[in-house]
Amino acid sequence: MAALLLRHVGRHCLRAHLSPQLCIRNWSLPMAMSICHRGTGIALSAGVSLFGLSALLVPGSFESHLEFVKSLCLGPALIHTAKFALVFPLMYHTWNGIRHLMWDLGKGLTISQLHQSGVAVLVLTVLSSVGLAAM
Amino acid sequence: MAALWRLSVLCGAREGRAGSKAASLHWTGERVVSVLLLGLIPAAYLNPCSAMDYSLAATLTLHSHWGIGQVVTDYVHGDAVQKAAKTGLLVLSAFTFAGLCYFNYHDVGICKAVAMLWKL
Repeated sequence: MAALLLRHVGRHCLRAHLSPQLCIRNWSLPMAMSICHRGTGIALSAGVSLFGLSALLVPGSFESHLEFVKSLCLGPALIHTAKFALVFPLMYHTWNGIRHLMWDLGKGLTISQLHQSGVAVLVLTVLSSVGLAAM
Repeated sequence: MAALWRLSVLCGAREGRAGSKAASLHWTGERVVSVLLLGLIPAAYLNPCSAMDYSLAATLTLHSHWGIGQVVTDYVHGDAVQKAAKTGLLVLSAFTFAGLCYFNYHDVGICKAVAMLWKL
């Protein structure tokens, strides 16, 4: 089912004039998960850099910034969604990172194991993100 | 464990002919920092303290610096452009680390900040 969905994505990129390598190949789960690992890594790094740089450049303490956010009265649903949006890429990158380290040890490299561990990472990501956002 | 040893021997054998172990050591270093960071996250949750803040700042910036370094190596082609990109990345990582240390020293620190953010 996931394979059909990914193949659909691959075909549509032709219309978007994307690189031919993205259109010729049928997208697979390991391929999509690999680029997501890179994407989440880049996003997380950007977040950390933004945090570090704003600590140096933006005036005001962390507490004052939190007070500002509190004063916006955003509502629990929006706050919960924001927490989920923050923690989802972190959890994906962490669980997939463990999968990468397993490969580096030489374990789980057959195609069927690749797909099984991939699905396991996705399930763990969703569960842990929901759990952490609820805390 | 044995697999890791075999892997490093293999890399060492290849490098022996080229005369440099730099790439192999870098690869191993990346994995070591990854495992360290993996351990630090639950440790920071269970035992938040100043030492944890600084360890997290260092490990996080190093892991992200090396990670983005791989992205630059993969997608930036050409000697001069790649050198410029790597230099830019070094400056960014240096400032990020400085910023995180500043935050740890002058403000509440990473562990407390996450706790405060989550209580929102």
